[in-house]
Amino acid sequence: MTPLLTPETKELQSKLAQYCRTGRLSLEKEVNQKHVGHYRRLVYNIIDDILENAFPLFHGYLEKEKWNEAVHLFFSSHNCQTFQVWKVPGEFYEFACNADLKTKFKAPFLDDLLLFEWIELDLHTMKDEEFPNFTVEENWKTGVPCINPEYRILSVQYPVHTIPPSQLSDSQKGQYFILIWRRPDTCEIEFMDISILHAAAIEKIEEGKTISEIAAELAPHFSITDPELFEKNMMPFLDTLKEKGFFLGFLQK
Amino acid sequence: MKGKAGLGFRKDFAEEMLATNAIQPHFIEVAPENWIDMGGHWKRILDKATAKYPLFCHGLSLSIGSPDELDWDFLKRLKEFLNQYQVPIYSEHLSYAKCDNAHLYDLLPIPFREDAAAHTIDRIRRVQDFLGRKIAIENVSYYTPVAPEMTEAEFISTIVIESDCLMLLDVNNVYVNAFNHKYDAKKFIRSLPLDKVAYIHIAGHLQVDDDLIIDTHGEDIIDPVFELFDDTLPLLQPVPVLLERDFNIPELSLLKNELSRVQQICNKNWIHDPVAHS
Repeated sequence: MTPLLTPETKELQSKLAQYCRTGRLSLEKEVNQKHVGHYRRLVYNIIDDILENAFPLFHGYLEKEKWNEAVHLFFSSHNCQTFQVWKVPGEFYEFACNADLKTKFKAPFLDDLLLFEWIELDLHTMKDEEFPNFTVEENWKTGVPCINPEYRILSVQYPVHTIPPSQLSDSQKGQYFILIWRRPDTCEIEFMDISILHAAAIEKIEEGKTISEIAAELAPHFSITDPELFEKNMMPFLDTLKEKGFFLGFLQK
Repeated sequence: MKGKAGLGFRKDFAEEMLATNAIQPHFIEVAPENWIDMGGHWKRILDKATAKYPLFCHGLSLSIGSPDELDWDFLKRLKEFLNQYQVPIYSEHLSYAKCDNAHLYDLLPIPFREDAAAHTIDRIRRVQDFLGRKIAIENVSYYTPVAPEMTEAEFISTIVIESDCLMLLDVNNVYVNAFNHKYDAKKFIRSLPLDKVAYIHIAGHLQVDDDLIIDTHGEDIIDPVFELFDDTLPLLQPVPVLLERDFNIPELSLLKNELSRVQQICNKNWIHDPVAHS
């Protein structure tokens, strides 16, 4: 089928769109030179606002000039694919990793920070997951804990969830696990710093194992000689997570 | 909802509106892109709102005048959303918001040209076929024409008539464009296919220069826009009217006053039964 749009009109549209993204105007008498700048301003502000709201820690860390540079670099060189503007921060995170913004801005923790901030937002807005059938008429000893499916475990190199970006340094580099979830009762986002042992335990719970089974399985890997002690030490962690809506109860048998 | 006034449902006041009944429009309107696949807190708010008010949808991402191919994945999800919430009117802007495979998240003016009109007509027809419903196309505000070969009124009329779509007449946009591009707003409205108008929008704007108004939806509606609205209604069959307020949102009691004024003008022009009118 012959395209209805002529190359000339298509080019006009492309040039206006490119101007909005890059600030470089290649249209002359085709547009009102005095007023066309408002399109660039309005479009840029939308992206600037959405990123500022999504990444308050990153925004607060960068000087204004560098922040503007990051936003401009992203919007001018990345083709935003989502039709939902509130999902653009997820594309910004991917872009920042691929474009190695952490080196550019001398912030080695940047990928971790952006991931943490994005996942908080993503979990807050994510489509409701169907909950498994569960009961509260069980206990940690015999039941298989039922996990609220609206969660993520992030593995990061910098403690971006506990220390402000301006205080992060290479001396803190290590392995950190962040458990983030959406509470079913309030829909608020909770997060918790967890150990590698706890991360491994949650993985095992996902496999449908009881705490006793997990203790027996994991204790040797963490040089714990007494699985019962392991199990006992897990209890405060499990109780806290149940209270905060990470555990819904126990899977129905 | 014909002759009734509705309100753009915004997250800024959603919870207060639902909790206090400080303002009670006849219907609400959202941008579906802001709610499709939304879960958690805001999904609960939307469900609460739609249990109380009929929901209209006014899109942002269809990009009906774009040189790019239509986004069928988006349209599929849109169709599901419209069906899920039994949306009686889905409207979109006569503009483009995606180009060169990149979304821009704002409304760019389509060049007023024959080929762009033909291209847009074809796309509206395909969208209507896919959605199984007519869509209402809105006259947008614009701050510069782009190498036009026809007038704005010719462009809009050709598209609305040839594609057999409905029209969303944005009265504030007419006012803004008439000011910015120096034409007569009343004459402009009379040159449109008014029998196709199925929905009206009205909003506030901001004059940023001696020769430029920006359509901000962030100010109160000024009297000349109300006057244009009042002048327009006798030309139309009763249709739903929406008050848009997206930024700089006042106390709901003040917004209620504005909504009441919109409704009063609808009643004055469209309700001829003196008992009902009272």
